[in-house]
Amino acid sequence: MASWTLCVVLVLATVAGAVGETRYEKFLRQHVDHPRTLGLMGHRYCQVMLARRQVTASGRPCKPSNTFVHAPAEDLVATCRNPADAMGIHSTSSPMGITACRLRGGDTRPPCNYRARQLQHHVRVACLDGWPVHLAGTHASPDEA
Amino acid sequence: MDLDIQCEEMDPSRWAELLSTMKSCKSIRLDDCNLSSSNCKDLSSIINTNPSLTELKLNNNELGDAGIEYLCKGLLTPSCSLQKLWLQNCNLTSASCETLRSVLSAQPSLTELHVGDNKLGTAGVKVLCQGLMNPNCKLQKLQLEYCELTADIVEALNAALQTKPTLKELSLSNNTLGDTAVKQLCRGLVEASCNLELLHLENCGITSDSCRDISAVLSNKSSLIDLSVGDNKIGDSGLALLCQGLLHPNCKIQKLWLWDCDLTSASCKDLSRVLSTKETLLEVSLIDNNLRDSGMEMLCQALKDPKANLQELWIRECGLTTACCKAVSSVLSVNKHLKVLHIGENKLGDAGVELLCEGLLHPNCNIHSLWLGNCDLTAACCATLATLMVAKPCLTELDLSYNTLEDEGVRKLCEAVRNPNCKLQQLILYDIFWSSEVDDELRALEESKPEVKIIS
Repeated sequence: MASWTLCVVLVLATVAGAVGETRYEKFLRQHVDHPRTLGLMGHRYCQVMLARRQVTASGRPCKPSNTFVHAPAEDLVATCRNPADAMGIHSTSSPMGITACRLRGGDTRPPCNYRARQLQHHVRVACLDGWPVHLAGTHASPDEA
Repeated sequence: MDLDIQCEEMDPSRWAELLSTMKSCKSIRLDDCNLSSSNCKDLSSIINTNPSLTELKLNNNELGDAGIEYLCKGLLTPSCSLQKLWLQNCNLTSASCETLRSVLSAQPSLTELHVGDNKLGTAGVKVLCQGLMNPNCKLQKLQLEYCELTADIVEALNAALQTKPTLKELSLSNNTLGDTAVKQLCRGLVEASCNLELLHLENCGITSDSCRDISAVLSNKSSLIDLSVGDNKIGDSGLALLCQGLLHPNCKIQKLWLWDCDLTSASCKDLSRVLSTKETLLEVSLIDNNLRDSGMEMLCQALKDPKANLQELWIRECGLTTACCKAVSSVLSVNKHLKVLHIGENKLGDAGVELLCEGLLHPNCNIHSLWLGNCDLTAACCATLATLMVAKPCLTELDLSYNTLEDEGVRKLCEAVRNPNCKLQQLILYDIFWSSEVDDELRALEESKPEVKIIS
């Protein structure tokens, strides 16, 4: 029920008109699901999770793609300590389980129809003050490609 | 009174609180609220005692077959006048279909049934079809996406369709039906007396083989205004066959979804004919087809035709580059009908966007919604985009997601938004990285101009 608690907490935070989440918290909300929420297979994972994490919401157009990382938040924080590339992006040392959600079809308004792909990819992040705040994409291990 | 809750876990006291509100609601939506079969008992009494309830949406709750059985006790009461029932992804199996059949047979008020994302299977939906055949059933919209249906379902569906002149919308997307079944379905649709308005057959295993029969539906059913065959490998040959139906004078199609259909630039000649002659056509999606610049240029010719009434064009991920932008721009400077343009996921680059903006800035251009996500744009094109945002009050929605605009680019956009002449309502900036300072600037902007939503 971990993702439930996260969802409720964030909903309350928004509803309470609080200052709002930090960029790191937003990163966790949009991109981290660990352990991977059970009971949601295939496209249903994307549809339900994106709604629970308020990526999909009324008044927001369907986000064309979104990746969920199934690794502890600490591992992603640690990635900020890896050397950055020329664009300032840090890559994880080892591949992580991810679900890549991709919008299918046409509509930009909810309900948003997604397809899910489960992969083992290196995750690329941009960091601020040592905290991951932006998912810059993922890639397969060099030896796999 | 309406209740609309999404994604909220219900504890007993919250549930009790909501139940008393529900007694007088006309519409109830409880999506992904961790409801179970026991909640259905309570919902059943609500349905029983609230004759003004017309819409019940319970998607994404594990109600199970047991839950549906409880729910139906309420749904079968004579005073129930429910019109719309949504039970998508509720963990239902074929066992629920017996219960649903009895509801369809007893409730003429029910006009919409959405049961997609449940493992109903062919056997289950056959039972459902028996309910559809009952003369009491006046269903107008039936949604059976992702129901694990197979080719065998078509016979029962066709039999039901023959008896249902009320049916307006049918969605069978994401069921492995295959060509033989789809052809049979089309023949059934042509024979049926229903004035079908919407037909969705996305990802149904359709190839060019079915296209002659789908074409026949297009030329026979003037009522059909919304057709989607997206995510089926119909290819250029399939498209050519479809166009025969599309071009038929009986065909009054308005919305045509051909996304991910394995089309290439070779399809663009026929598509052009449709775009420039089918005056009823308002929305076309060609997303994820390798049309390329040459194909796009052909379509652009068609879109300059005075008979082209198209309002929305979706050409995301079509293998377009900077090279076609001049042609698109020239369309924008003559075409007053086009209001929505999705052209993201094409390597247009800054140069491409500069060219597009020439057309977008033209007084003839009425584009209000522009989607340029993931187009290889950088800060360099943001000055021109800023000019556009300020010069065109008709532009209310702009998407620049996944472009490396950097702080410099985002700042230019902010400046434009601050301008009182900018009438943008939504600025969509998904997955763009910016600094804390720019983040603060965006927040401040939203506060100072609340009519603009900055989405990320």
